[in-house]
Amino acid sequence: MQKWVGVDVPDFKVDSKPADHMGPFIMNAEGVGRLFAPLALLADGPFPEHYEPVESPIDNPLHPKQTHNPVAKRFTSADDKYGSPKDGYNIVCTTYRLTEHYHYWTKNNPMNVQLVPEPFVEIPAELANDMGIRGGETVKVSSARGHYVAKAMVTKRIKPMTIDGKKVYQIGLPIHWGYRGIAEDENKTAKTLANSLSPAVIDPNAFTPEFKGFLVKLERV
Amino acid sequence: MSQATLRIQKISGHAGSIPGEGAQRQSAVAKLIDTTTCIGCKACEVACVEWNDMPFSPTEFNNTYQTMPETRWNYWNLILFSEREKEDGSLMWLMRKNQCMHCAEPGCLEACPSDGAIVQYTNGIVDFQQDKCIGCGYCITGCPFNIPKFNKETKRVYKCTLCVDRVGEGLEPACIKSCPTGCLHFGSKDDMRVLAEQRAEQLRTHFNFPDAGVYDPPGVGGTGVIYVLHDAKQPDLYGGLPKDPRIPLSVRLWKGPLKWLGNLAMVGGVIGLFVHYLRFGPKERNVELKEPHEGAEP
Repeated sequence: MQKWVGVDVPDFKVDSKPADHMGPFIMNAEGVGRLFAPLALLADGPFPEHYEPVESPIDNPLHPKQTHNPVAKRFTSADDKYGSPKDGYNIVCTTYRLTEHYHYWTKNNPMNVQLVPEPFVEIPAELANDMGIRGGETVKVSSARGHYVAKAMVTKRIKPMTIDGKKVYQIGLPIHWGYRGIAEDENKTAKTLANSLSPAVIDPNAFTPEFKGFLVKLERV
Repeated sequence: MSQATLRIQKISGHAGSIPGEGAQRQSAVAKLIDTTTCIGCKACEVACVEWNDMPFSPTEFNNTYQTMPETRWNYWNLILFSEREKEDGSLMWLMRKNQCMHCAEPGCLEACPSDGAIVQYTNGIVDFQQDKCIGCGYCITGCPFNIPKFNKETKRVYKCTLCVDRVGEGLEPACIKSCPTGCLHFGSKDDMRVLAEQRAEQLRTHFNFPDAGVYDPPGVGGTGVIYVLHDAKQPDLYGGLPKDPRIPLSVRLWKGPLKWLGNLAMVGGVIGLFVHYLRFGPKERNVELKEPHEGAEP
């Protein structure tokens, strides 16, 4: 007699054959779990669904005809344009905060500025190698909406990804700098905001803006 | 700096016994740094600057998250970041909090010629007394970890005190207090050794780091700051931590055999002079007058 074995103890007949499809939810007649979704609580349907970001290097692999979330809130000014890999925006960009800084306040505090003195762009070593960018060189990151100039931090920590058979690079952009501050007043930065690059697309349920994944171009200055 | 509450164990360039020696006993203290759980947040750097009330100095972007290339006279505690690619292609981002190691046999104290400028308390803390420092910089040569730093304006040398002012009052050092992940521990050296060995054993058996171990180098008699490393066989990966640190040969020669040779040469010279005096007597002026040349007289 064969038995089910594993880390967990089976919650059903231990010698039930796979062909019998005996489910673990033995208190339900159908043998499988049930999901309950409150009606009309989620803006985009009863169940969560995977959508690609509005700017994505690929179409949605689950359903290519509907790549983006159709009910995502979007700003509609003339500045809210979107780029695609066809227009040359083929690098994925993500924005984040650093432990050394807090929002846009601490760029005025000498203590925090001592820890991280000026803005930078984290660039994968392979991409930097392809483009001939050395660490500390100034680079320009541009999206369909704006541009950002800062020094390059070449790192092995960000590896290239293979998505849908294509090699895709990702770069990282800490957000903490802007118009005025210690680095800005010393002309160490372009005095534009990281969020002038990111798209004003907002999740319909959580209202989280889509600042963690969008498309950019990278150039040497 | 707080000699009122701590007893001195060793003292630099000082003739005679240590003041107050044997009056009180204290167990050696140690700081344990578990590099495997450090996240590089730099809270300890900030705590150090704030507690010691250090002036800020400008830094430059250098293609790294590391605040500056090495510690400064006003920046005693620095996390060193290094990216290591392993043979299997995976990447490790190594972070090591670098500061004075508080060696049991301190090279700085060994090299220091100034009376009382460097002391080692009975609890193992090595402390610089800037009011007695003559700014010669020999301690910098004597340190195998490149820690003491010279201030050109005050002409004194500074380094981590292991927060002797806090420890003397029964508190933990400022860096330990600020650590959010609990990778920093402080206590008696014996307890920290046990804790470190336990953690290294855990890394070896459960976390697939077969070379994990404790860094407590015997070349300097053990240190008051010990590390748990993923790879104790290659400490140099962690921002150039020396594998077998020793007091430099030049300092050991100079303070050991050369010092006695020099003394011997000096005393020997004086004795030689005296013996020469006894044997040959004082040097006398030659009183014989030269005979006048012929035909010199008119």
